[in-house]
Amino acid sequence: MSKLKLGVPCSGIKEQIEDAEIPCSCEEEAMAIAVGTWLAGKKPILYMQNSGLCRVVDYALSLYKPYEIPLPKLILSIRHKPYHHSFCGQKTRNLLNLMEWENVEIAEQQIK
Amino acid sequence: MGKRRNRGAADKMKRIDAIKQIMDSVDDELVISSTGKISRELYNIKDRSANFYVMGSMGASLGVGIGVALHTDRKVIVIAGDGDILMSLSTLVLMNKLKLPNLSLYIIDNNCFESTGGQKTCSDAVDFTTICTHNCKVMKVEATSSIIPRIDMPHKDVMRRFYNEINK
Repeated sequence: MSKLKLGVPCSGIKEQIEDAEIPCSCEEEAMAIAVGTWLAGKKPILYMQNSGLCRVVDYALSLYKPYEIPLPKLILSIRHKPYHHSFCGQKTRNLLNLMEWENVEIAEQQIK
Repeated sequence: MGKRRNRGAADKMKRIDAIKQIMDSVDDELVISSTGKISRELYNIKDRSANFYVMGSMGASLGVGIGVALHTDRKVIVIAGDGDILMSLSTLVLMNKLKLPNLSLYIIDNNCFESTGGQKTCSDAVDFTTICTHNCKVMKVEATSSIIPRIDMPHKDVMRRFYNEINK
């Protein structure tokens, strides 16, 4: 296993994650397993919906940053609809900037 | 009432003895320990390059252990507190699903968040070994208010040393 894809699925990225093997129950879990994967010398890839990105802020800032572990490549869907996604959707790019997460492949839902 | 409580406490070992007992049988295993006093105590008992101390990031230790164990043939041991495991209980379910032969988990259960002042957890309402029947052992220990020095090694040194230990 050279590259491990870890995360929680979203319909917006389902084609990109067809080869994911480990069924994570929440995004923090994927973030933690990705740390162990990186420590073992492999490059994990994370995937999640932007709602999940809100959940992993602590691990990004208090696990990855202090140990100087690079944030992995992230496949991220940004949803704006239905209404309950709209607030998170507006904030997602700011959130990525806040965490200094640069290696991100975004699949964004059309706002209209 | 008081006597019963005292007898109950006497039945439980101290956390330091639980960790010593685990480490007595450790040879070249990779050991990952959870946040709070468990990592501090492990650092003071037996610091080694094959130890990875998760300082902060409550709930992360077992996930880190799974990630390491997936990619090495070496044995991996996670030593975690009850609060740490409860915070990401789904990872215990994942451990039971994956059944990685090289991964073992010791849950040091003092039924409280000791490093924040001994507030109760709800670990007394669950048998972790029924959630994960694979290589999972619970060690009930007494709650104390012992003062254990913080780990004085920088996070990045803990990381680099552990990384080099696996990838040498």
